[in-house]
Amino acid sequence: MLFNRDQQKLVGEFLWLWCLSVAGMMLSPFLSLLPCSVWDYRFNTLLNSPFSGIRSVPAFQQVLELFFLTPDVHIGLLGFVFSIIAMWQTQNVSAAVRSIFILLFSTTAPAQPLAMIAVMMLSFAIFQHDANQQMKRWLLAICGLLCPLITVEYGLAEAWIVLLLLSLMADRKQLSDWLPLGGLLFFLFVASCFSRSFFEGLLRPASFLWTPLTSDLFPAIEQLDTAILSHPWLLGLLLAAFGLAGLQSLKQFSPVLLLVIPGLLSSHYLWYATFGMAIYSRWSVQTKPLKPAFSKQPLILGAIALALTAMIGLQFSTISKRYEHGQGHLQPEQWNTQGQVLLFDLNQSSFWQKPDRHRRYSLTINDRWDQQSNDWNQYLGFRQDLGEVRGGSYLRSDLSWGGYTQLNQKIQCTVLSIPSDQLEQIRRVSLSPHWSLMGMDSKQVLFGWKQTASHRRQFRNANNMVTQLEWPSGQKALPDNTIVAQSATESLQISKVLQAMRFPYAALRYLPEQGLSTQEENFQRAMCLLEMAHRTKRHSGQPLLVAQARALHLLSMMQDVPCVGFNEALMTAKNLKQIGSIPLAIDWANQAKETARTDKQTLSANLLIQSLTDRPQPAAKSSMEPMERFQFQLAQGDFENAKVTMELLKDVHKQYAQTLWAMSSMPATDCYFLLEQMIKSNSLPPEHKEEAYFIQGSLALEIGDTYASVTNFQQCLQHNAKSPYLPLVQMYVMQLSR
Amino acid sequence: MLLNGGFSVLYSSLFGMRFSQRALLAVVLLLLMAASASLGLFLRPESSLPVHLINQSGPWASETTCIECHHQAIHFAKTGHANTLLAATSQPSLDLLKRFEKTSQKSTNITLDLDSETVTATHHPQGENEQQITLDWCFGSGKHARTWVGLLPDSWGADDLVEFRYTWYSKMGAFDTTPGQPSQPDPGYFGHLGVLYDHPKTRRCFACHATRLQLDHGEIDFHTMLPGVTCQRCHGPRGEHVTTIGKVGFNQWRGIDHVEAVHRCAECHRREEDVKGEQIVPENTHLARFQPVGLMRSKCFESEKMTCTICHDPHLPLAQQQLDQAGQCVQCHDGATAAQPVCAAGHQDSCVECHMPKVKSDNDLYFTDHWIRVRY
Repeated sequence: MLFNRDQQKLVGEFLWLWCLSVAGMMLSPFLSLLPCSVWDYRFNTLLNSPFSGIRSVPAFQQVLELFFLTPDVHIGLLGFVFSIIAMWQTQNVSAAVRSIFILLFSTTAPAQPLAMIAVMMLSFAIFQHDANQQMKRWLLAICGLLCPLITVEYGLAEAWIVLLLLSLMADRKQLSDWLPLGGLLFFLFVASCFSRSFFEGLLRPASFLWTPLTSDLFPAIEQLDTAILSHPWLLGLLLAAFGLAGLQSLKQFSPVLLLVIPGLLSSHYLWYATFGMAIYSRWSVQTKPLKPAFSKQPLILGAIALALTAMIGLQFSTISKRYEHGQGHLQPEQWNTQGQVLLFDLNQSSFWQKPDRHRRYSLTINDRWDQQSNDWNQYLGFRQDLGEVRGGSYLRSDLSWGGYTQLNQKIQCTVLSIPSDQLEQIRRVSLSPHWSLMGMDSKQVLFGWKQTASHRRQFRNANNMVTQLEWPSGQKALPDNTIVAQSATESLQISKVLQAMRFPYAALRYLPEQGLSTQEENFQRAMCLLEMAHRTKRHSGQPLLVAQARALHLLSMMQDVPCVGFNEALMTAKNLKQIGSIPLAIDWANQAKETARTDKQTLSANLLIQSLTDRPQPAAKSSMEPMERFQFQLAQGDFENAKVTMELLKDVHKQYAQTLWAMSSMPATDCYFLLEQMIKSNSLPPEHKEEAYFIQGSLALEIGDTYASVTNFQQCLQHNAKSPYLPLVQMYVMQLSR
Repeated sequence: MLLNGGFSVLYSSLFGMRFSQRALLAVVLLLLMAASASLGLFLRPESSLPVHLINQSGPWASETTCIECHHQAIHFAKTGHANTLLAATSQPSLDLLKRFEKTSQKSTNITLDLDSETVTATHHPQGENEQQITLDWCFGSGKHARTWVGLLPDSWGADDLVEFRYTWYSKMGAFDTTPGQPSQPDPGYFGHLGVLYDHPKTRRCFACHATRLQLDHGEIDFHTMLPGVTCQRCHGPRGEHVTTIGKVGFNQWRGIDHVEAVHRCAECHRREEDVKGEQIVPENTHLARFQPVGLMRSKCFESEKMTCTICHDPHLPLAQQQLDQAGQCVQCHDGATAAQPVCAAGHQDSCVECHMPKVKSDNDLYFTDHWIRVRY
C-alpha cells in the first residue's frame, strides 16, 4: 500500500480541501452570468448593438467596481471561502466523489504541464486511498496498447509496456513466456510500416532535445520554460516526494515516471496520464502496511499549506485563465463551406476534430506531427511563407524552393487558422492577394483561399461585418457567427486583431467606455487611436490632432504597467516614432529594453533607441505662430508646454485651443459633446473650422453616429473644397453612405 | 538471459533502499526531468526554419574580396545586375533626377529637392495642399529604365513603399509614367506622386534587387543590405570561403539540371507559374519581359544543355557578351543532326534578329523575346 492508514486519511483530507477549492474556482466564473450590473457592462460590448449611440455610465457601477476589482480577486476570495468550508466537510465524502473532482479538473485544465504533475500525483494517491482489491492486469495492458492510437508522445508508453513485460517475465524460464514480447515487437513492426516515423515518435519526447525546431512550434509545450519557480513546480515536487516515497520497488517507480512524462510534455494527454496512474495505482496495491513515517499534526498543517498554495497557483495559472478566455468561438461548420485547414497553432487541432467540423474540414497537418515527419519540414516552410505572404517561388538557404502558391496547388489548403495573438501574421495575411477574412474569435482568425467558390458567401459576410464596424452605414444587421466575442477579454483580443488589420474604428467598438476600462483595455484604446492618427497622417499629411493627443495622454499615464510586455512596448515605440512623437517613443523604447528577456530583444530595443536618439528631435520652431506651436506641442504629447502656449494665444484662438487641450484626456463621447458645443456657439475661428469639422466627423465615426459623421465631413469640405483631408473624407463618406 | 539478469540486479540494488533514499531519488529524478526539458528549450537554436538564401544569417564576405582571386569579378561591377539598386542620393541617380527638374517639373507639377542626404518629391496642385514623399532608392540598372521608390513605414514600423510615378527610360532619354501605373493618377494623397504598396510587396521588390536582405518584423535592415545582384546573390554567402582562402567552398550550381538552372534566374525574371496561363501566348509582347517563361516554351529548351548561361555570361556586361552574333546559336545548330538544323533561310549570322527580336513591352521598354522560334 502506498500510504498507511494515517497517511491515507490526511491525504484524503488534503485532497478534499483542494478539490473543493478547485471546484469553487471553476464555478465562480458562472457568477458573471448573473444579471448583476457590475458584470453587465463588461459583457455588453458594442457587438450586440454596435451603433446604439452615446451611452452614459451609471455612477453606481463605478462605485461597485472598487469592490470587485478583477475576476482574479473575485475567484481568489471565493476559493478561500470554499477551502474554509471544506475543512469541516472532509470526513463525510467518499473518495469516489473526490476522484470525480480530480478528474473533472484534470480533463478541463488548460496547458500548464507542471500543474499536471500535481494532478496526476493526486489522482494516483486518491485512487490508492480506498482501493482494496486488485485491478485486472489486462486493463493496464489495454491502457498501454491504446497509447499509440491516442497520444503524440507514445514512445514512452511503448517503452513502459516493454519494461512491464520484461519485469513480469523476470523469473519466467520457458520460451512461451516470451510470446507477449514477441507480439509487442511484431506490433511495433507493423505500426512502423503504416506510420513512417513510428520509431521517431517512439523516441519522443527525448528527441525533442535535439530536434532542431523552435519550441513554439511544439504542441502544448510552450509554457514549460515559464514556470520554473511557480507554485505548480513546488507542488509537484512535494507531492512527488510525498507519493513516491511510499513506492515499494522500481517495478512501481518506472511506470509512474513513464506515465507522468507524457502528461508533463503535452497537456493534451493529461487525461491519459491521469487514468493510467489511477489504474496502475489500483493494480499495484500492496497489502503490507507501512510504518507511519510522519506525525499527524505537521501533515495537517502541510496539507492546508499545500491546499492554499495550490489554490493560489492554480487560480492565476489555470482557472482564471479559463474564465478570462470565456467560451465564445466560431462555428465554421455552419458556414456551408468545406476544405483543407492549415493550422498555425497545432494545439488547435482538437477544435477541428470535433465530429460536426470534421465532416466538412480536414486538417492538412494535426498535432500528431511526429507521425508525419516527412511533411513536417514542408509544413514549417509553408506556414512561414504564408505568414510572410510569400506566394512566388524563391530559393531557400537549403536550396529548396519556397513560396506557398505552388505548394498550395498540390495540397489545396483553403482555410488558414491563425491564433488571434499572432497579430503580425494576421496583419500580413490580411494584406495578401490570395487570402480573405472569413471570421474570428478570441482564439483564432480564419482566412480563406479567395478562389474557393464555396467560401464566397462567408467572405461577403466577413467583409460586410468589418466594413460595417469600421464605417457604420445605418443600422444594418451584423452577420452571426463571423466575429465572436462573449466576454470582456475576448472582446479585447478581437479589438487587437481588428487593429492589426488596420481597422481602428472597428477595433474600438470592442472596448468598453474609457472610464470603465481596465489598464489593458486603455492601452489597446491608445493603440487604436494611434492607428487612426497614423492613417490620417499617411493619407492627408496632417495629424488627427485629438486622436493623437488622446492616445499620447493615455500612454503617458501607462508606462510601467504590468500588462505591457516587451512586444507591446516596442511596437508602441515604433508607432510613436511614425507619428513623430520622439520623446515619448524613446521612453517606450526604454521600457521595451527593461522588459526584454533575451539578447535579441535587448538588441532590438537598443537599435530603436539609437535610431530615435540619432534622429533630429522635432522641436517647436521660433518662427511658428503661437497656435501652430500649440498644435505641435499637443501632437507631441507635450501637454505642459502646450498649456503654457495656450495662455499666450489671442482670445479668438484660445477657446478652441482650450477645447482641444481638454479633449486630450476625455473619452470620445465627451469630446464630441464639447466640440459640438463649441461649433454651435459660433465661437470657432473660420481658419480652424475645416480641422474642427474633420475632428468632429472622426469622433462621430468613433462613437458610431453615421449621420453626424457624414454631416461633419461634408461641412469640412464646405469650408475648404481642397482640404488636405479630401482623400480621406471622400473615402469615408463613400463608405458611410454605401 | 542477459537482459533478465540485468533487471534482477537493478531491482535488487534499488529495492533495498531506505525510505529517505527513495524520496531523494524521486526528487532528483523529477528535477532531472525538468532540467532536461528546460535545457532542451534553452539549447534549441533560435530558429531553424528555412530562410530565403538572401536572408541567411550565415557569414557574408565583402564583395570586394572576390576580385582578388576570381578573374570573372573584374568586369562584374559594370554589369546591369551589379547596378540594379542604388541609393537615390547616389550620383547616377541624382544626375537623372536633375534632368527631371529640367524637363518634367512643369508638366507634372512635381518639384524635387535634391541634396546629398535626401531626395524629396513634392506635388504642388493648384490651390490645394502639397503632397510630399521622400525618394530613397533607385531601382534598375539604367540599361532599360530607372524607377525611384520612397519608404513609408506603417504604424508598426514595417516598410511600405511608394513607387514614384515617373520613370526614366534610357531609349527615350526622358521621364514618363512608370510601367504598370495608371495613365491618370489615382485619387488619394499619393496619386500624383506614385502608388503605395504594402510591406510584403516592398520585400519582393528589394529581394530581387539586393544580394543580402535582413528583415526584422517587416523592417528592412538597410545597414546590412548589399544592394544590387552581386556575386553572393547567386553563389550564396561566401564568408567562410574567403576566411579559409578558398578551402571551404560549395558550388551550389553544380549538378543541377537545366530546369533548375533556369528557375534560379527565374526567381526574379519570373517563372511560368508567376504569369497567368492565358497570358502565355506567342502574341503577348509583354511576355518578352519575363525571359525564362518564353525560353522554357522554346523548342531549344528541349535540349538538356539549354540554360540561361549557355548564351549569357552573367559575369560580363551585356555589351561584352556579343549576343547579336551567331556564336551562341551555332554551339548547337551546326547541322550535324536533324535536331540541330542550320538556318533554312540561309543566314550565317544575326540569328537573334529573326528568331529572338526585340519587342516593345511597356511604354518605351524593349526586350529581347526569349521564346525562340521561327516567325512568319
